[in-house]
Amino acid sequence: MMDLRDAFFGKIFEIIRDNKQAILMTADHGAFWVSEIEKNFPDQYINVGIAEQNMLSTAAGLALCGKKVFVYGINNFIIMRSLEQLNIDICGMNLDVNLIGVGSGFTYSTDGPTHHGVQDLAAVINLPNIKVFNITDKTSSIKIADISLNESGPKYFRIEKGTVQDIYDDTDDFNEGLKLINKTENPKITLISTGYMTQICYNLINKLDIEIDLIDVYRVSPINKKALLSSIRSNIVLSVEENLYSGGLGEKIASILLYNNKFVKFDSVAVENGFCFYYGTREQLQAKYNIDETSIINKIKDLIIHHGT
Amino acid sequence: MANTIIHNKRRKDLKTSILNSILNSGKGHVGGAFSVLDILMCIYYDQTNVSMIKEKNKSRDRIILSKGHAAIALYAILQDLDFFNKSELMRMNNCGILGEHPDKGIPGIEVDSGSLGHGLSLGVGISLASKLDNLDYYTYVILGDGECYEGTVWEAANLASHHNLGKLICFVDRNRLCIHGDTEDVNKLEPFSDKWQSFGWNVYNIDGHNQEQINLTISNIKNNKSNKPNVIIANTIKGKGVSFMENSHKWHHGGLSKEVYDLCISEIEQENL
Repeated sequence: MMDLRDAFFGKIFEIIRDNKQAILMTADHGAFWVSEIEKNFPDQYINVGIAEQNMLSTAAGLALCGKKVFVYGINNFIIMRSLEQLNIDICGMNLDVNLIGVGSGFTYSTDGPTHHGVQDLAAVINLPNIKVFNITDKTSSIKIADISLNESGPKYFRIEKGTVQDIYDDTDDFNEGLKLINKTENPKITLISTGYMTQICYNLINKLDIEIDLIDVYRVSPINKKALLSSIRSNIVLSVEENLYSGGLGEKIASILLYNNKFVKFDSVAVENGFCFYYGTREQLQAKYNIDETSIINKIKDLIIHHGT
Repeated sequence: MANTIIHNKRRKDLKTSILNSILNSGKGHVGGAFSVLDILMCIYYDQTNVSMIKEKNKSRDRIILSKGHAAIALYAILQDLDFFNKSELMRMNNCGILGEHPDKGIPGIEVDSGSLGHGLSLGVGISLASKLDNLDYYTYVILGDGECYEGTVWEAANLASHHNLGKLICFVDRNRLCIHGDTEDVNKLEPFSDKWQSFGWNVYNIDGHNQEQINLTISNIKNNKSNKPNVIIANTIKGKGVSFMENSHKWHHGGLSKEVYDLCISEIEQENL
């Protein structure tokens, strides 16, 4: 099985190899494929040192001159630290800068809140023009990486590392922004999740004797409202994410449901607002914040008991 | 001498346009506009091929007014050079295309600016692109001295030097005033030249109102063909040309009464006579 980060960067490597106008920038953040790009295409690789704000504005300057720029770094530093540069220089001028972020949720579980990527999503989805993607599996890694080639404008890819099971296959085109990846005959509840959490949800639905629909929102911004509303076929909806409650996927979905008179029982699984000074594995932190598989299962059962028909 | 007469007349006309616009719109950054005007005039009228900017030719010089709050000076020049209808200047801040900070949608403007500390980084990216594409253009970035408190200015300065961006020409409008007073009282910038030098830049310290000196410095940079990026510390006077505005941080931003406007106009008429 292929590592998700390798799958994504393998595609970026091809784009840079085939397009001399493509450039990869980093703020001294490495990965196997970053080294490969540096080694093979040194003229298309720029390491600015640990200076993310400058990196984003410099990327904007390059994009103003027709370059397709990829910017790689840890979510918090390329988004949270550099939010104004991203907002004004890249999103405001609608430039072809592709941000590739690692460290979504509790990926860097032992590194503390400076590295926990639980706020960046809320920050970035309110910026103009930018499209925000979460990676779910190997196929989505490769095909969503392709979007950076085929579409201009600002984009933010929250990628994952490690190996996971395949959910998508080659027939999926990733144009819709979301997909009902588990469709039951008579769903009692619909889970809506994104990125890493989709894998957890996908694994748990077969452990319950409940008909559960699962929607994967791989493009978190802009959300395809029409597709989302038409995919919800149950009276109970539960959003699942590895971000803070405030401003994340759950609140976005709740507002879409309300604005469109889609009256369902809605609840969400997300990280309690605050800074996490608890150190352990990603799974241990997820358990601590009640966003692990057991917590989601308990939440589903509770919703069915109290609101199921 | 003929050039000096032409420039003096043009400077007077541009300052009049600036004052007319501010009087009409009710407010504007008059102090900074008058300190940066000579720098912008030299770049646009003497150093760059304006028609290439109009054509958006990929080899055009790029001019970035990072101290976006002085946009009214730039607008006055752009309307004089027919980038847009002259009536727009009188519609500034009043539902036309011009606001107090420049945006890329305005003909002749390359980047959005207004938040300080972005322009040099953008300029570094643009100048890097010229190297990568083997194009011959110069990238001009105009910073305010107060803007140099922003950390990104120095992040960009370091990167420019590392990449040998010899066709990057950065002006610092060194009027020594930020909103609350003298830069040396607020948070001292000196030794300013040494700082740039230590970052690996060619440093030129000049009179920012002496157009002959400004042009000579730019010509020297172009002739030297150094690999180092270039900074021209242009010593200027905030509110230049109007005695009661000169060196006063109170005229950073504000409106003009008709009485004050008339006084300004009469002083500008006398300037350089």
